[in-house]
Amino acid sequence: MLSMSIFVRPVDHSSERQKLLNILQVNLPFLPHAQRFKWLYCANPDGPARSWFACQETSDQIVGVVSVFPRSMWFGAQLKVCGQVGDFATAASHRSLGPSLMMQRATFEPVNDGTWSFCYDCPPHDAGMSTFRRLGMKANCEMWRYALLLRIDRKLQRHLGRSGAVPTAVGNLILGLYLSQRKKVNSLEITEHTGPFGEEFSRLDSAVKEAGAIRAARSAAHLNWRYREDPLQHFKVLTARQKGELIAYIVFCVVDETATIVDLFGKELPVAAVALISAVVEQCKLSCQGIQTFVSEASELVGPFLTLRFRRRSVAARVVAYAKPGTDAAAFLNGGARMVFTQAELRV
Amino acid sequence: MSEVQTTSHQIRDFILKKFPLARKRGVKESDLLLESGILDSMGVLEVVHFIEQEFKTQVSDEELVPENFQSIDRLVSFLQSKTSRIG
Repeated sequence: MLSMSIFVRPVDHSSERQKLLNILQVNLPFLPHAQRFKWLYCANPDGPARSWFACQETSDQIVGVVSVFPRSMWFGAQLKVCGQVGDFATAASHRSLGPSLMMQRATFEPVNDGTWSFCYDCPPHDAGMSTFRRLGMKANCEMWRYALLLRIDRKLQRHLGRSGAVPTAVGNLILGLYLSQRKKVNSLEITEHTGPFGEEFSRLDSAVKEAGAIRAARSAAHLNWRYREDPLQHFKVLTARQKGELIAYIVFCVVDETATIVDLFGKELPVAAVALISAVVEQCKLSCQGIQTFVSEASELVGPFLTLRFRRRSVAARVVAYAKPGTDAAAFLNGGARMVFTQAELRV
Repeated sequence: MSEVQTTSHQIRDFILKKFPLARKRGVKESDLLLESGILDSMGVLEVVHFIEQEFKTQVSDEELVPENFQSIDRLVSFLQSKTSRIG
């Protein structure tokens, strides 16, 4: 009988960068890891990432990697630093659960030693839940994908080809009329925010506190890093202001004619959210086929999205959090805390 | 039929029943289950559950290594070594 021939060790990001990039590129080939490494692993204002390799004992061959990215989070009215698990990859030949289990446990170490209050992972599929099932852990919440169809060009052309030009035009016209039946919120001024995020965004972040809720902190430093310095994606930001005061904002990006609302945050959300989402629809309705967003069940944003005729589509991820037993964070998590998550919390 | 063959058939039947890719490819005893994508980590979890129930044994975290789950043959050897150790 063979028992564990794998060991897990921390990664030195400066001397082992290339090894880390190699295993990521082989096992998660859809992301240009080298281009985002410095930004994601080293420049995060909440601190550098921590990573672990799973290695074969006999050959020292690297067969897996996992990283945790620090993240400031609001636990009700308290600001805590936690870790978000990401870039989790295991070589196909080693997906026997044991190596992944060891790496998952390694991500708990900074929580157990008190560096971070808790860590969370957002597995997008069932296979990603296997380690948690083995550990007897359940998802704290589910993230759902909501989508709004803006144009039917692609859908019809897929079925009708070139002969679909007239039905497509008619379909888009009907869809346009359907989407135009929206209410405007005249008390809010919606404008595009093109520069860096200033201190008013940090103040807004501190002003929005919800008892019993967990959400990511959105300081100006974090927003600048995430939405202005990301080397791979370009984000558009719209703000909602009332007499000049920042009330709320929405962040979205467009890839391949699909707009994704990445974040929507602020005060007076049901009203401000409707105004901001409507503004994104207005901006995208001619150039995009659709808009999607990812929201946790507990988020108060679900209402505004449904009001604006977004449809609930599918579970996009599950959120599983770990806190050291006996700590305040564990008590908060297990005491029915609501995870108020958008894609801002979901994706690293 | 020997005990080894019976165990092998039981595991193969379970894998064929549970995993569509195994059915599609007509998995053999020596086929690589992990590298071919027939089993992923969730699949391993199901196999573990099956052998724990069927063969009245416990699989520890330390035993969840690729060597034990690489193929049906390896799973049989793994089970044999566990039962002989218990016996």
